Amino acid sequence: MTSEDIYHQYKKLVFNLALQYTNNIQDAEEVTQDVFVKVFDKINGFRQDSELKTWIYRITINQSIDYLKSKQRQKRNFIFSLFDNSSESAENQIPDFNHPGISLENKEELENLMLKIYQLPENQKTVIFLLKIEDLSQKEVAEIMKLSEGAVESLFQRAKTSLKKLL
Amino acid sequence: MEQDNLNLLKNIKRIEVSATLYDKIAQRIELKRANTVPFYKVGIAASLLFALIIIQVLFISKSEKMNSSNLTQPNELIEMNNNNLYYE
Repeated sequence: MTSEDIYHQYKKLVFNLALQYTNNIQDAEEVTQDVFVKVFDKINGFRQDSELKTWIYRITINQSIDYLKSKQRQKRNFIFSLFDNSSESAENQIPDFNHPGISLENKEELENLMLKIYQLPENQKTVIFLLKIEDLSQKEVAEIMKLSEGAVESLFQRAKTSLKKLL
Repeated sequence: MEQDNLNLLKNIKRIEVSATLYDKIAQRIELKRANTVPFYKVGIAASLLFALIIIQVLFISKSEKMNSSNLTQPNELIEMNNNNLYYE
């Protein structure tokens, strides 16, 4: 399988998962580039003890989280340099909301829900994205997140409880 | 209720990837490759450095040997077994 084959097989998966985290096309494209550069770089060292798809899912999740963290850090540093006391509000920054996959009919409801999901801890957010948007089974999610199925179920329950409080 | 809410997420559509994205990735990989020093060049540089160190060590040890042999000569010259003065 050549690099180009891998790209064409997984580009949609990587881009759309990155889009759930970043919420806008530019950032999702940036993450997609980072993911494939990493995949092509490390493909020779990839041990076949997990599926290629699972490995790519893992890289995409980590890359998306790292990208958002570095973006927040940059923003915080910029704000901090402008006004010393507004740095606290930058702590819970939500990505610029411009998700192209959300249709007009339920835009308001979905936007509201996504904004609440962004306030959840990373692992709870990831469980929701993988189970509810990517439509993966609990077993697949467990393999991607290197957790037991029970742990995934409990993370999902905690995420639902946290969301209930927020909504 | 929150389950219904979460089911709303299934309405998020999958988006097509821009056609130019692969070219951008290929460019980045090419740039990375250009900025990386090849392994054989690192090997050559390391061997040259090693050779220089060896030459330096050999040179130092040889010059030390020469110095020590030079030091023994004056002793031999000065060594006198009688009380006669030079040119006497």
